[in-house]
Amino acid sequence: MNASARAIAIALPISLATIIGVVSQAQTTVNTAVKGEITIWGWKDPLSALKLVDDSFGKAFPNVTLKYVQKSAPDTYQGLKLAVSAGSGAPDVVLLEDSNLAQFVGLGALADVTDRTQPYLKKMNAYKWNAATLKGRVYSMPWDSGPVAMYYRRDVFQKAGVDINSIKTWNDYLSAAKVIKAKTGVKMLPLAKARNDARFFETLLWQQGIGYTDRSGAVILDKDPRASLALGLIANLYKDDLTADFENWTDPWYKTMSDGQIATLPMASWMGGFLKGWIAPKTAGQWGVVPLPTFSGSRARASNDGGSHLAILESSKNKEAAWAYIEYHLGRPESQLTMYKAADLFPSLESTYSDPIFNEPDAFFGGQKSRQVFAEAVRTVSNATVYTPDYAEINGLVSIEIQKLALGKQSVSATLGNAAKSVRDRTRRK
Amino acid sequence: MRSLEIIPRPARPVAAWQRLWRQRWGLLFIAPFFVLFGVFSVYPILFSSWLSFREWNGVPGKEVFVGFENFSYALRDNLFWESMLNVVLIFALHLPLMLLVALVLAVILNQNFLRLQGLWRALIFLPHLTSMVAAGFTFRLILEQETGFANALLTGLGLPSVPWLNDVWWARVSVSLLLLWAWTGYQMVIFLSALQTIPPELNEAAMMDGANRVQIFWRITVPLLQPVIIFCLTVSLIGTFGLFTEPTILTGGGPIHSTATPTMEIFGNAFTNLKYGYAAALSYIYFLIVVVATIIQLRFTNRGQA
Repeated sequence: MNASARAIAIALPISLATIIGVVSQAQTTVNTAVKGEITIWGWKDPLSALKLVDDSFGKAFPNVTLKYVQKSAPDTYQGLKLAVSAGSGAPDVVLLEDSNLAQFVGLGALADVTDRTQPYLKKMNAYKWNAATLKGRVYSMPWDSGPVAMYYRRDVFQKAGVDINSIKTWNDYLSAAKVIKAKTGVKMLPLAKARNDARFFETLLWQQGIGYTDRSGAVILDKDPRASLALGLIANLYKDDLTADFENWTDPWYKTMSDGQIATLPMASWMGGFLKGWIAPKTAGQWGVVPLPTFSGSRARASNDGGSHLAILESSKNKEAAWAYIEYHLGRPESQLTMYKAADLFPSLESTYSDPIFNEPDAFFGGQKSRQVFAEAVRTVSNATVYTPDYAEINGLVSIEIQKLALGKQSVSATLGNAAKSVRDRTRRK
Repeated sequence: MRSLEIIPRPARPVAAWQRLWRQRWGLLFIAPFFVLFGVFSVYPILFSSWLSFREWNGVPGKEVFVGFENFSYALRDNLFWESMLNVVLIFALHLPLMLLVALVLAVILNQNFLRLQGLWRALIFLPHLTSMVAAGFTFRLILEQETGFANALLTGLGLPSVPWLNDVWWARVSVSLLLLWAWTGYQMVIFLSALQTIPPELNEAAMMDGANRVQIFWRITVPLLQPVIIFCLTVSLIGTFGLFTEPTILTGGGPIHSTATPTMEIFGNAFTNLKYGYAAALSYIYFLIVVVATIIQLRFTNRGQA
């Protein structure tokens, strides 16, 4: 063996070792200690997103097997309630929207993950923890957020000769709405009257940093001037006939967007994915996104609508594997970004916002870097929530009163007064 | 397993056991009904009455005794009483019309000179066999104010468009329309079978005496069908109080809660708001009201008969 061959013989194992060392460092360490099967409940689109991460999860946790059970969102919640009452049949991990999360936290159905989520407290959007927390304990891990901005139709604004950047406040918005309606006949936004679901009202409350209740749980609808600002705006939009009267999530409502019958759409980030994907794919290039207009006396230009979490059931026999699954899918920027790119579920994990995808122009939004708008919005969403354990009930009661307002049966102050009264009466709040 | 308790206890147990044993196959074959009836009817009824005096969020062991609190709250629960009023209004809006139309259709389809009798009967009965959910969604599309077919038709004829689902009263009318569409055929079939029991001699005799068809209808057919009409009225009354699927799909109970029904309120309180105890109390009050309403109606409709 000559010198060079000897050198290679010595060098080879060393370099191999180095290479192997580098590779294994780049990969997540393989954990064989956590094992067993876990069941995950959720609905179609989010489950398909989660499955995109399963290959790499399987390499990191080879002894954990996953069983997905796909149901519709209402069936997931109903099934979970029944399983909690029956004391058996619940999954290990469940997908919960922010709007439904607190009810299950209140039932004591979810496992306390305060210690496990500790490393993520500062990494997620701060406001996301509100619906997940009860008496200082945390019961779920945030997945995606619903930062709200204002989608608008470039073509409609151009035709009306209105500059979107001239809309700084909601008052500007009202004036622009009148000009657009006069010049093009297009309504400013879709907002149902008789079938109003109070979601836009909630968006406007949250923009101003409040929900239906204050931190002590007392109803503030008839006390906080910000609630009358929010409802006042809605009343003004109705009064001047600036809204398209269609119920949310119905065919004619989708049609307003695909046919250019509305000029703006103040909604959450996930709506962009829906518009692009199935509501109005043919309108590509016609849309833009800007932050919400401000209320007088406030600089807040962002709100939140929806979003979701993954939670472990208290009844789960395998909380270790369940948490490994949740942490791997939601706590790693790589996983969150994979799911964001595929399914437009806007990550609550803030370290993802520096990813190049947030600086990519989006052809659907006329080449605008639309993701930047939401990334900026989500950082400034008020640390509030409308999603209390009795949110579904409150939302129903408030919707009834807003419908009365919309049909001209009562004033703004009467609406807030009646809504507050009926919420207090039925939820035993102050 | 519970079927044995249904049999009255006789004086001599030994002989009774022997008798039961001799009838074991018969008992076995009727057992499924009693088991299902016990599990899905008797048990829930008893459990609800126990629950109606408690506050419960559905978590086992979290039941709290509250006495009559649920009942006293129910008495001042606007939404519940509004829902009671809603079904009374919907009942009044659709039932008289439905019975009249069903009766007239039945009389027409009972005529021997009519060709394709079976086909017409089947066509009119068909809506009743359609899934109510599918029908509800279809009606919703048809009645949509701006894009629906109903208003397109009306405006095409030069008539004003109607806020079918967007107005308190029209929404009740819309629910009534759906009920008319779905149930008229069912009532008609019941009337048809009753009509077959009227001897043709009666009509022939009346005709001989010079009565015309309208007179025969009001003076012979309707009085003879009175027991059947009362049956239909009673079943419809109970059915309307129990309305759930139709308004849930068509209007969601809105606008302004105007088409919400008692069963929707009970369902919402139990499964959305997780107030199981309160929902149980509401269902007992609801039950009582339906019983009273049925008794009143039977008294009222029987008065002429005696």
